[in-house]
Amino acid sequence: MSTPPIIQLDEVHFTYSGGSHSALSAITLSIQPGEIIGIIGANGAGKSTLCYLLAGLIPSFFNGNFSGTATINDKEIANIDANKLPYLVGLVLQNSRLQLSHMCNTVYEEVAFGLENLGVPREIMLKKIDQALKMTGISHMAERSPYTLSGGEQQRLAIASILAMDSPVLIFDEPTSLLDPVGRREVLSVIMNLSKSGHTIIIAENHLEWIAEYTDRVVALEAGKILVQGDPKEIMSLPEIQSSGIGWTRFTQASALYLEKTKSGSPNRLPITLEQAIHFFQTEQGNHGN
Amino acid sequence: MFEPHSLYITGKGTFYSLHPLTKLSGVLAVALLVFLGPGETEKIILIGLLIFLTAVWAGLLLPSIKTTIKLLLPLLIVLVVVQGFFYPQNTTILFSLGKYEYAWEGFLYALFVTARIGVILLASLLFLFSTKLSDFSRALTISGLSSGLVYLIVSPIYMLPDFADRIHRIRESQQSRGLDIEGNFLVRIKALFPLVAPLILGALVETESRALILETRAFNAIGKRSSLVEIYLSRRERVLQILLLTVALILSVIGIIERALFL
Amino acid sequence: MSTVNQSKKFFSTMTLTLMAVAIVINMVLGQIASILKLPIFLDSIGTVLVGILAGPWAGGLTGLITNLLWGLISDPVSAAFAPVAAMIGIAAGLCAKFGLFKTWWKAIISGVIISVALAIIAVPIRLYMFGGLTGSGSDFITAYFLALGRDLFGAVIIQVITSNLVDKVVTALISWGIIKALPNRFVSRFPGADKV
Repeated sequence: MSTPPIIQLDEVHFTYSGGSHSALSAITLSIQPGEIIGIIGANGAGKSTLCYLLAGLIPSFFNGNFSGTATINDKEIANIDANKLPYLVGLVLQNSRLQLSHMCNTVYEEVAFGLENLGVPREIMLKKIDQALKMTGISHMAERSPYTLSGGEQQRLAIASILAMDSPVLIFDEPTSLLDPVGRREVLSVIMNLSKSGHTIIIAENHLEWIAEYTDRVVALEAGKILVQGDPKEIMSLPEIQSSGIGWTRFTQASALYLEKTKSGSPNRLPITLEQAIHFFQTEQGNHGN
Repeated sequence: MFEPHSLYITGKGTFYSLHPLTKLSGVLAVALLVFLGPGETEKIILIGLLIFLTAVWAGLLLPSIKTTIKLLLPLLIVLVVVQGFFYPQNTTILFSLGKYEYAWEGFLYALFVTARIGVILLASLLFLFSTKLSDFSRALTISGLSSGLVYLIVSPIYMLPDFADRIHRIRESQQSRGLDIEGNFLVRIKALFPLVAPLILGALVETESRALILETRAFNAIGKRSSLVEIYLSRRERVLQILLLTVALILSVIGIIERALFL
Repeated sequence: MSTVNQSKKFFSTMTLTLMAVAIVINMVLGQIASILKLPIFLDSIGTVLVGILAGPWAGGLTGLITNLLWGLISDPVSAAFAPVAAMIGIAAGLCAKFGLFKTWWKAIISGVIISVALAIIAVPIRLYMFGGLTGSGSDFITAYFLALGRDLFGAVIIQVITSNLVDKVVTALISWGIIKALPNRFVSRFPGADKV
């Protein structure tokens, strides 16, 4: 951990104005450049609020009671001005339709929208757009109307729209929860590729198997607080993950059920990923064999 | 279903390639002159003739006349009947119906009022038929109109098909479940409420996501914006725009003074 | 410390997107009312909502642009009544400022005030631009009062007020209901939050 963190949160508390209880409390979190972080939590645990905070929308866009410090690249998030923020951090939401600017006729123009607002010269703009379209695999749809795309395609367009602005940190607030399985697979594979190309990824997602498999670190939230954080392959089978309403992966559930049925002694840790589960059942079978 | 609503008719030619704001200036000039410029019937005939020639030049004569008639026929009929009987300056009685008398002056006045609106309608239709929505919005942005205003003018047109679609789907599901939309006034009102209330509430709450997406796309960035597509505004057209509006304004002032003196 | 970016803009992005969606709501509800052949227009609920939540200027602009856009994409005649639509938004915003959307019966009073206020703009437009009639269904009211011996001015005033009164009272009531049904956290984002 020699490199300085790209994002640093210290004792962050936030209550929405008009809200009765705090949406985030005592959040301390440090994110390294290039990390891929999963955020899990039941509905209302504060996943979206944490995403908004990291995207620089708190307290500038969402008014409320904010305390603590939140920095990106050592700069206080609240003080970064609107011209600079898109170059630092990009946000993708759940609902793909709402992420269209509704100012554009084609996919290509949609990706250009942010760059136009930033006053990026046309020649540079064209390069950035082409690159963003390629990275999200939608180059062939450039001339199509953004309103006629499928949910998965629109979601990749939303990613392209923020990628064009070159932000090193990308935040995803449940990007696949409204998609069909095909769309979900496409979007998640784009996100993996972005991670491989060096982007820092923070993703709130309820596809627990994916989180366990692919994130470097997982942050579990409960009622606005960090319940536990660490290596997903180690912590996601903890009993408190189950009891907080997040639930276990299918593999953890199956193994727990198996142990209950066979009434065999519980191992130190239940498996979380498919690989761990295979290993678990192999050992269990071996035990039975003996 | 997702086509943005637009009256655009595909076409080519010099009129089509005029800058959207040049055409809009023309429409504004016509509207000003028709209502405020000096002169009465002869003015309307003159402007009407000019627009007629423009329509021929643009190759839009047939669709624009058709649409104008379709939109104005109800007005014309009502005016011809009502003004014929009740125009205050009625003197030349043509025929009578019971105690009501129909007069020539009222009939002429009805024609005059309809023609006045018709001329403006024709001009605006030429603009609407020949201008693509995306070109219009880009022209507005480039002209330096505040990005917020451009958003208010452009985004509803792109949102509308989606909302219309949602309404359509709700209506279909209601009809298929036998919640009929026919029936008397109260029944229809009652059927309407559960249909639209969730739609409106949802649409309003969604505005928060729309707004924060604008924020993340640098919509609030300060400073000059750039444009993906350049819309060329020639010097000649710039002059034409200014000329159209200035002449219309001067003539309007003359017209206003003239009327003030006559009164 | 937090409003650096928004202080330079006339409207916040929240108000802006609210206005845009309200414009669409106006258009869609107006269409439904006419498809269902309702005797009311319902085409200014969005305008009134913006007036209440974001103030008279935002409300006025919402009405104005609704009619101009409707003129652009469907019926150019409606553009002529854009100033009337603007007046509806301004009046609703002012009513809200004086607390006239706090309860359902106050909302009814607002509906009446809006009807009277819009008549001030609508009557001259009808009279001077359209000769008193617009070719719409409610023209029969004007014709009826003319036949009873009223002058055109009087007949048009009666027509405008009667055809709008029920619509604007219903519109004000629906708007009041919608605001009550909206989540508190949402309403509190707008300048008019403390007035409803």
